[in-house]
Amino acid sequence: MSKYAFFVGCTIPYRVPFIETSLRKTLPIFDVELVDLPFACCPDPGGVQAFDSVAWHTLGARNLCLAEEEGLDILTACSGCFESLKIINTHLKNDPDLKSKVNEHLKDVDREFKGTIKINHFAEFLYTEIGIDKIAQKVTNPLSGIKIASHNGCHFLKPTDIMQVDNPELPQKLDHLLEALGAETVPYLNKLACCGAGTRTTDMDAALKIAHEKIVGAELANADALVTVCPTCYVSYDIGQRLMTKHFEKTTLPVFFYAELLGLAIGLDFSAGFKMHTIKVQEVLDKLTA
Amino acid sequence: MKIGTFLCNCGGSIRNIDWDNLKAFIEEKTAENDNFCVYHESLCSEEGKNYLKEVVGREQPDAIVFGGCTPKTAGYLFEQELKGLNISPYQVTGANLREHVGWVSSDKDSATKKAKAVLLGAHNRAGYQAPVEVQKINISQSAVIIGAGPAGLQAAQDLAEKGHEVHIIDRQPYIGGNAVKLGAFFPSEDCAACQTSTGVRGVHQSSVRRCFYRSGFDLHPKINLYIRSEVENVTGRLGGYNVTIKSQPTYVKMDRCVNCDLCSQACPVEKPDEMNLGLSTRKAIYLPNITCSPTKYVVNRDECPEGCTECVKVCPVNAIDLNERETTTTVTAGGIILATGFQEFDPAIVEEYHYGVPGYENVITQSELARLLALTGPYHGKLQKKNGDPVKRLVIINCVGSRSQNYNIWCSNICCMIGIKHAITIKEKNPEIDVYCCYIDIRAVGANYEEFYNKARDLGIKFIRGRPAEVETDGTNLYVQVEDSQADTMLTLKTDMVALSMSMVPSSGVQKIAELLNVNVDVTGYFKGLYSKFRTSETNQAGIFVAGTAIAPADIPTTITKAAHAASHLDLLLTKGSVEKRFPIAEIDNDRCTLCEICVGACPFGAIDVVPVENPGVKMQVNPLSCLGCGQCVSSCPAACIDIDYYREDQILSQVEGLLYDNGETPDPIIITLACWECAYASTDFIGQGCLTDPEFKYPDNVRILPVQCTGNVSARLIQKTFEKGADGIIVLGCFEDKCHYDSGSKASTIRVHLMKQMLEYSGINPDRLEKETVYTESSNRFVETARKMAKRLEELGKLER
Amino acid sequence: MTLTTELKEEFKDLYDKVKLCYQCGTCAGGCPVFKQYSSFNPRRVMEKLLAGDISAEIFDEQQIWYCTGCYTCSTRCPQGIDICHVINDMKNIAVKIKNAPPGIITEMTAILETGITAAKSTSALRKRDKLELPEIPPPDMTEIQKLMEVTGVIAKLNALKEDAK
Ligand SMILES: Cc1cc2nc3c(=O)[nH]c(=O)nc-3n(C[C@H](O)[C@H](O)[C@H](O)COP(=O)(O)OP(=O)(O)OC[C@H]3O[C@@H](n4cnc5c(N)ncnc54)[C@H](O)[C@@H]3O)c2cc1C
Ligand code: SF4
Ligand code: SF4
Ligand code: SF4
Ligand code: SF4
Repeated sequence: MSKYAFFVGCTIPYRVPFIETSLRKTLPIFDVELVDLPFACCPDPGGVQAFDSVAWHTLGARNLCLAEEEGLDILTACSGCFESLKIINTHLKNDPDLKSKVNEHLKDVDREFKGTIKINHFAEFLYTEIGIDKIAQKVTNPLSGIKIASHNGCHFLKPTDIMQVDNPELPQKLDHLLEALGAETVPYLNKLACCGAGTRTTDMDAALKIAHEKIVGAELANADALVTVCPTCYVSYDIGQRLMTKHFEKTTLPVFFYAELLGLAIGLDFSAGFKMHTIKVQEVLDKLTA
Repeated sequence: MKIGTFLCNCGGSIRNIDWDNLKAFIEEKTAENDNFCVYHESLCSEEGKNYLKEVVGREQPDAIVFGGCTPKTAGYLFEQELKGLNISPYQVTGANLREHVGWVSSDKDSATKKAKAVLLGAHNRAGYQAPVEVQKINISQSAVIIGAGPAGLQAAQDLAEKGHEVHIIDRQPYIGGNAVKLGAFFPSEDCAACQTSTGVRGVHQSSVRRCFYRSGFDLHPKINLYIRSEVENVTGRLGGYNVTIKSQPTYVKMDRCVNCDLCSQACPVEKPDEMNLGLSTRKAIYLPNITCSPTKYVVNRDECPEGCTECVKVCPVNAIDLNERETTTTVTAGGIILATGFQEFDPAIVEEYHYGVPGYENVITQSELARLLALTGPYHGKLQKKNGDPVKRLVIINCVGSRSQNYNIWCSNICCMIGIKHAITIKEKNPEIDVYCCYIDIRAVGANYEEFYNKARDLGIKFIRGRPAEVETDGTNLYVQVEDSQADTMLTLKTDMVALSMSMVPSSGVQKIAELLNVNVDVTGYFKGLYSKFRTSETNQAGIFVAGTAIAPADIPTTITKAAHAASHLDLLLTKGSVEKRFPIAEIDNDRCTLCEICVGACPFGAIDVVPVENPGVKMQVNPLSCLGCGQCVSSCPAACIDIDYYREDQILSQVEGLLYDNGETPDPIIITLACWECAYASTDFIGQGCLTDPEFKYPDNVRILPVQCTGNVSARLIQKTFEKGADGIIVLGCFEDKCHYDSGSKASTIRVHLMKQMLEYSGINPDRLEKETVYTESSNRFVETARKMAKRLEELGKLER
Repeated sequence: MTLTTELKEEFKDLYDKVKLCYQCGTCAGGCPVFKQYSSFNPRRVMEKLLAGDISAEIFDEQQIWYCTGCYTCSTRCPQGIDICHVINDMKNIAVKIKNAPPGIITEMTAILETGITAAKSTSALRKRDKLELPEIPPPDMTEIQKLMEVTGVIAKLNALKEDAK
């Protein structure tokens, strides 16, 4: 068992908790133990960073300190948290001025950033630490017969020089992870497009239009489902599709979080969670068992 | 040694100096050895010149001091007038009493005081001057040219027509370089595979131009062509380079092959044809291109199945020999021209356009588009997609990999026009095809280029000002995402094909050649011309030239002009048959040399060779033809065992000593300026001139100047000794670092001065007493400012306590 | 709106970060927002910075708040300009001159009060129960509030709220 500080974030537990279930159930199967720590918001790479960059670094560094003090690397499943924590961790490690500024503030709460841990995103973690082969070995119910449009999202990949997860113009790891489950991935238009969540607080309509592009692309490619590795992207597309009806014709493209499909393929039962999806997923599930 | 001093008042223009006083001073100071001093109102007048010759002829001095105008002008007078008078120009030392004293000094008293020091300095130095030996080097009457593209061909023809033996080498099995593949060319709007006619082939009169294969290039009696060949090694120097050429066999005898194609038909192997982007196939024995020259078949031997001899069996003229071996030839050449050309930047590196990614087969480069449009191309000029469907819309994307901090910073100069050419070709043939061109700026800067651009717009080609962000696919079509920045709108162009105007980068292998020949490349990776304004085709190595797109991306007219420029420079050298080296060069005292080889790296011209000797194994040896005498080795040598006659340390220091002369009269601190003899010294002259009309140019009289060859020559020791002799401040005055006449001298000096300042601090000397400044004539006021500032500072710091 | 000297200095820093921009439009061409909402154009934002437009008009229009922070532009800019980061810096300036959209105030207030951005709504907690998920250990709010105080967040937030009244 390898132990990780589980950075669950804000969106997963209180907006899409079934995603949390999928993570808490699948990861232990790959000998990963998740430890919960009293983390606060990562904080939000959009809002808080935009509000005050130094405050963002400081609040983020506090989270890093909690894990550092436990001697644990962080594992997160939210690309926003991943981005914040990894950028802050990298910046503080490389920029001594910023580090001393932040540590000056942290002194007030008796903490100090040291720079001793690594930040992992679960999808990247599955790909590099667990490995495609090991995942494929565990598959009992291969997801054959469905076509999947994979959505990497922005913060999983960018800013590239810091995230260093995959080629931002031709990401392939997620497709490989899906193919390991026996699914077929399809190329589609707007594969690299953003989910628009960052614009939500400013202009919900604009955000929905951005998200809609992706649904169009995936439908054009006859995809049965869209798969994300970030809860925020998930929300943009799942709940988003219902809100989009205000501007566009109704669409019903099922959206999954990668760990949900992983669980399905290795034989776990997530039916309670699937019922909580806004866009019904039954059709896809039927196709799989057919 | 008998030294004669000639004082001249420049027709009375140096009024500021008390000449009688000065003459009396130098006569008294240098009374020994039959030294003498004469004064003339105007030595460069006819009467003055006669006087000069008469006195020199009568007195027979061993050395001369000339006190008057700047040695930059007086030097030539003496060189002319003293011919045949048994004294070399190197034995004349100038005392710049006009530009450095009379014209810049404020009053007679102080001018005369300074004049004494300047004259004494020159007199001291004259005592050390000896004639410089003239060396003569013979030049071998032949040339080697690397690269047989348009540039190499032009240079080869020019030199061959002049009667020189030419060896031209290309790694391809044909001549013509990139042009062979490119179909049609602007601005002439005719074939690319075309060159100046040599008039060698055929009975017809030589016309203006001919196809590569008809030009008779390979038949020219003075041209030796080595195809499938590369340079393996080079030894020797200007005048006698020994170039070892390694040639891979073509397995077909050029003189026998009649191009019947029977061999190719018999060959069982089929391979993608690289000439046609692999869109068509060829055999293992094949003709690279029907317009190529030599128009002969070649074999890619590694593709042949074991034991196969099908081609040999069918050849009616017995031209094929599958057992041919690699050959090595060594030729001697008086000079070398590098014409290695360019290649397209790897399009896969610009990831957002997805070149080479499965599903994006119709994203191609301009070179590939050229092949598609060529009649000799895979589809015989028909524009179609890889799957055979016709192309209804094409989007051209400009500046791919060029003009970018991420990829190549330079503009590739001609890709805008290449895109426009292809667009026009397509539109003229198939008006129904929709052509878009996405650009940042259109650069149409050659003769008739703007007209060509207008023609494209006339034909209905759509120009979108915006650099596309991404090329996407839905599996069938391509989509180009671009902002039309003139309309502030987002466009998604659905298209069948995308052509990328790739950045043009140096040919692969340039680095190897650069190392082999010790030739500089610049930050772009292209070969670096000796000087960017006009010595563009020379390199840092005497006798090695560069031509065509091996310098920078260019079109054919520019390529040809550059090639002819290189050829004419090399011709000058070869025609002379020998060169005379008349200036002083570095000399190494091999007994004191510790073999550290630092000087080898310090010389920007690669003039110092490490040559084998019996004991102690190697020695450093200066090549007189490559050495320009700048002295960068001198200041680099930790053992202080290199010197340059005429700019030897003892010579310079003797002059410093004179310049510091004050006879207790001047309580002021004295600032010695070591000025490089090129732009820096010229700038100080210019300042003297300037003072006549603009007193703003004046600098204090306690600033005293003497020349060095290059600031790269100013060693730490020299600076230290100048302080020891009594200087209170030192200004090292050079050219701008990137405009140094000796490539890197000024830069090295700036670094050295910086380090010296730190050392001064350690030894308790205020580092403000040492300064480096850079100038050229148009910015000579920089020196005035620095000199004034230093003088002001020294007023506070006072004389240097020793 | 006029900018203080300090903010003008920050503006100058931004100019230095974008001065190589040659207005090629690569940033706009890939921007997910611009595609849907043409009033927000990152190239135009760069243009204003290049022009040294410090009239604060850029902030008044609140256009910069449309940026999703996706870094697509930064990844592709041929001149290596980190547009996304520059826009974030501009947002920091906008907050200082009290020019932030209401959503950001709500979000910052939520963090100040609960340490997280998403509300622990009853429906959410009910779902967690149903899924038999464990309770998440809550963050130490005194720590969070202290940090938000010493980094000046609270002061800025109060100023914004005051302004909104
Ligand atoms: C798509 C495209 C379209 C173009 N269209 C036009 C046009 O319409 N009009 C126009 O004026 N120009 C055009 N050009 C530019 C034109 O091709 C060049 O100006 C010209 O080819 C330059 O000639 P060059 O001899 O300098 O170099 P190259 O043509 O590159 O020739 C260099 C030669 O050197 C050889 N070589 C390189 N390295 C070595 C080595 N180490 N050892 C041995 N041999 C070596 C190569 O094999 C090659 O044969 C176009 C270019 C491109 C890419
Ligand atoms: S010539 Fe035109 S296409 Fe080529 S780099 Fe320059 S501006 Fe770009
Ligand atoms: S730097 Fe001086 S000591 Fe060193 S190898 Fe050259 S000549 Fe010899
Ligand atoms: S991509 Fe870069 S250079 Fe081009 S307009 Fe945007 S910021 Fe300017
Ligand atoms: S970071 Fe902002 S400006 Fe840049 S592409 Fe994304 S949304 Fe547009």
